[in-house]
Amino acid sequence: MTTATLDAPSQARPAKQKVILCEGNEAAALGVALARPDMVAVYPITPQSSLVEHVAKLIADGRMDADIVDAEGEHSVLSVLQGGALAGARTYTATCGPGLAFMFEPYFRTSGMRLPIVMTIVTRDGITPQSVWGGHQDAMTVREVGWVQVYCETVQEVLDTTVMAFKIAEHHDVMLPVNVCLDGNYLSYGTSRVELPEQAEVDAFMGVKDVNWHVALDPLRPMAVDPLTGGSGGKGPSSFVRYRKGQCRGMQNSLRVIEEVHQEWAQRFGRNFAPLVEEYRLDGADYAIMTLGSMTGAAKDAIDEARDAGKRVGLIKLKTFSPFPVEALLKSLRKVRALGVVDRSVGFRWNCGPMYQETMGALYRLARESGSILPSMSFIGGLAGADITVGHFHRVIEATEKLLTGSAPTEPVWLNEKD
Amino acid sequence: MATGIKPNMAYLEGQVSGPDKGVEHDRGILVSDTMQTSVANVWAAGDCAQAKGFFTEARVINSILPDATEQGRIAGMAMAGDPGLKKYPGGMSLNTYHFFGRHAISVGSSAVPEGAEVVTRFDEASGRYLKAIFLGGRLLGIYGVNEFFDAGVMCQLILRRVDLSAVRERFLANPMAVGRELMSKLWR
Amino acid sequence: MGRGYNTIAFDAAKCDGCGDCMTACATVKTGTDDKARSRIQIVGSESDGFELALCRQCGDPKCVTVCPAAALTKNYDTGVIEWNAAKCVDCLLCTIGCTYAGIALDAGVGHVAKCDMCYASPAGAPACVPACPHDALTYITTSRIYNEVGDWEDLFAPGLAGCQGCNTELLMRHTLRRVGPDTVLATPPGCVPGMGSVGFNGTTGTKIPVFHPLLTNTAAMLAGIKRQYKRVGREITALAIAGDGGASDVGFQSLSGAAERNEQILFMVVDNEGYMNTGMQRSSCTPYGAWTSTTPVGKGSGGMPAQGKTQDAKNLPLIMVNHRCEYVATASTAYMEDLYDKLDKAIQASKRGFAYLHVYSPCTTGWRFPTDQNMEVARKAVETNFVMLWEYTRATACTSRGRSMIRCRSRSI
Ligand SMILES: Cc1cc2nc3c(=O)[nH]c(=O)nc-3n(C[C@H](O)[C@H](O)[C@H](O)COP(=O)(O)OP(=O)(O)OC[C@H]3O[C@@H](n4cnc5c(N)ncnc54)[C@H](O)[C@@H]3O)c2cc1C
Ligand code: SF4
Repeated sequence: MTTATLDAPSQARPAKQKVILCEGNEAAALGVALARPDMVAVYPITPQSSLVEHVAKLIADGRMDADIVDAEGEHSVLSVLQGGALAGARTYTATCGPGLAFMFEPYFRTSGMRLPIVMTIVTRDGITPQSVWGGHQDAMTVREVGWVQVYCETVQEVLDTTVMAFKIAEHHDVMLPVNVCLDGNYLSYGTSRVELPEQAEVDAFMGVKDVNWHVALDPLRPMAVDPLTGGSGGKGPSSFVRYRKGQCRGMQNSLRVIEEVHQEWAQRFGRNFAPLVEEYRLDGADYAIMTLGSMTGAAKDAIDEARDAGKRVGLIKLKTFSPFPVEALLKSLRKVRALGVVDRSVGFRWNCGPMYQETMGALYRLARESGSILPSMSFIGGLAGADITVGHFHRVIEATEKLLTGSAPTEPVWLNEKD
Repeated sequence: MATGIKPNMAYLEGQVSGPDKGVEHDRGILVSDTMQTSVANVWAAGDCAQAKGFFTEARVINSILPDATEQGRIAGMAMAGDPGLKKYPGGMSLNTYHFFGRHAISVGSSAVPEGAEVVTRFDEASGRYLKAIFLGGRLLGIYGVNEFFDAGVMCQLILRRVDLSAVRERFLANPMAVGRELMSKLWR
Repeated sequence: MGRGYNTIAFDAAKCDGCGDCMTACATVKTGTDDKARSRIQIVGSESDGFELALCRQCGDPKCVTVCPAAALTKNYDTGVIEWNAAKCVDCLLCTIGCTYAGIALDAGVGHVAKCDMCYASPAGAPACVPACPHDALTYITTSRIYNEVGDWEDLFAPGLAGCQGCNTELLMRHTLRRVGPDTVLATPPGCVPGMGSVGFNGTTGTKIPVFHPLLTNTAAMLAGIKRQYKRVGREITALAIAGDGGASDVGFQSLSGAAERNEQILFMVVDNEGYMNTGMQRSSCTPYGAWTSTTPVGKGSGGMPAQGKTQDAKNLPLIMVNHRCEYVATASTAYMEDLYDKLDKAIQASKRGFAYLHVYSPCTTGWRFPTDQNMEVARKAVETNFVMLWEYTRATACTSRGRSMIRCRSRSI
């Protein structure tokens, strides 16, 4: 199963779950607590700060048994966790924007060392023009570094995905770090009803922790971690190449594992999230718009209204952005004849949204199999915290509809420019 | 008093035919700079060996203890394939004597080659006698009776071909002190 | 493993030829004040400098091999070559064997005589050393460390790709021997991994867990490691052997952060005053006026010649003191006993919190001095007060052991 629809019949519900009201940052913290990490390292940054405050409070209140390291910066935050993971700890942190930029050096290395660290990115725009508001620019900027990146749509999905992220990261076929991306402002501070799974149920779901079987700094099994490799030929570069290939294989494996873990989650907890690509009212649609993260809620409302108005439009939402779920996306793309892609960040090199740029690769695959090119266009909206409203999505739908008959513009459409 | 040693070579006679030519010998067993004989895996050292001389390319029997131990060490290292092996620099006469209540020390060659200069000094009262042979600024040999100097140091001055021109007079006046001074500077 | 022995060291630069050592030796050994009969002989002159002739107690002594009477023997417990009067036949062959004038005729008695390190004396230590008024003679007892620790397992792989004459290998091997196998070692980019501590292409350079942190995150990674083992109740030492550049510049934030949090880490900085592994670039530990490849010396422009680094070195150990670490000390490989003492204290302190050890390490390649001079340069750096050896604990603050300084005097060359 590569796609799911929210109106699919849900699984048999397990024991009744406690219902609480909380913001997305707290939901993430609660998800972390349920996953029982050994070590959390924190450094505050807007709009992530309340998340680490919640984590610290959970530990202080004895509701979470983890070593918390108040590091002196994000660079050290991730470095402390690397050390912890190499010593066998399940580890967690959260950051965004400038913090993510500052930790880039160890961030790069985490995936290289195949350390299953889970890190929330409470996505933020910026760095300049200076902005503390939401946007996907931070996470998009680091998309080529070998982390698995999944984007949440709702507060409930934040909690559930945070727990699932540990299981995905630590799967022996994956062994990669995972970013759970939640939209700064909209999800971080958005408060909604959340079902809280039972700890025992989550424990059963998580299974036995085993994070450093493949690489460890442990006097009981001494090894050199990450010796120098490379050179102009021979053993050095070839071992490097095999290593890189292994990382890419882990990324590809994660597509299957993300699906399996979501399936198991649905069975145990009754909440069924599309693991890779979600279709919304795509059946019978002539064209589709594509979204990522929390904007999808408004997009779905716009789709409903457009459908009511007789437009044959549907929606494709990515949950997993990295690795890019090409096969799953192709299944959805085959159903439509035009596509509009809405990004909350900028791809400077192609003068379009990064998700659109990635999707163009999938469209090429589609063109090869169908012999014709699916007309498509890029929309950029929601930068620096701007709201992408239902109204904006109607503009998106209208412009995309025109692709069925007219030619596709090469320039992106900038939403919020004249709001 | 007697001098010289004559090794017994009789048992090596007649081993001269075919590919097993036997051990080449002259007055003693002829050896290379690493004490190797003409036969693979056979080494010789000490009184029985006839090895390179320091002052002459001809091979000589230098039947004294310091040479015997030095040659033995070299042969041993060569057998073991020791990478620290240094080639035999060549033998020279070296001796100390203690007779009639006098100490005598002789180091190096007593031959006086063309252009060499012999310096002697004798002090009747103390019975101290010194003789030194120089070629250019280099010391070739030094002899003392009741004049103590460090024979090991003198030997190095000769082997290292140290130019003593600048300190010659001081050296002759007090070979022990100046020798030690040079030792400390040159191979300390 | 062979044994190390105590020895008498001579510093020609401090000697003024007074001969007090010879008088002391003659008094003890002959009951006279006849310097000629002293076993230690100072030779030379004010103009040319003074030199030493003294038995070196060789490991493979020629005097012993040439002696036909077996009157000389090497005592492998003390290292002393002992002379047996009862066996000696006065042939003087030993004076031929010895190339150092270490055994010579004592004309007063007509036998050879040599230094026996005064082992049999009540003090059990050489009489000449304390007699020297200028500290030109030192009784070196560092062998104690070698003998004690030498038999412990060397946790580095044999052979290192270090520069000739570098003392860092000494530091690495001795530190690991001391710290032992229950250690996780971080060697951030620099000379230490350049020497192969982490190995190359899938190999390892040590027998303990070892890794390259980033140049920037050594202390942070070690903190994570140590904390997790603490959490699961396992005692390990989290050890860094880092360079001065990474520690004082780009890695300073994580170092400072870990020290402020009092993480239980032993952080050793090997200070060679620059980024030597990458080709001798300036670091903030490079001292004023020093040439480096990024602070070169040249004629400059506008009449302002380029004369090396134009700022003073950052005093990193003193900055660490201001973090109120459990322990901070500076040390030098030229003073191994002191270094060892401090290493022991640092290991203990690292069980309680952050311990910082700053070791001055002359760089033969980067400082461009002869490769056999490393210890000498390290010693001079301390003797001239160019670097200072001190330690800090919370109880004692900063203390330094008194040490006599080198006397500077001109000498004709
Ligand atoms: C009277 C005398 C005084 C000397 N005085 C001095 C001196 O003052 N200074 C100095 O430097 N040198 C002196 N020498 C010379 C010095 O002793 C020798 O040069 C030295 O001992 C040579 O050592 P070597 O091992 O080569 O031979 P050697 O000491 O002669 O040893 C040869 C060994 O081989 C053994 N051997 C012989 N044939 C066989 C065989 N077929 N099978 C098994 N073993 C065999 C012998 O028994 C002997 O043990 C003196 C020599 C003599 C004779
Ligand atoms: S003088 Fe005495 S100690 Fe020296 S070699 Fe001769 S016998 Fe041995």
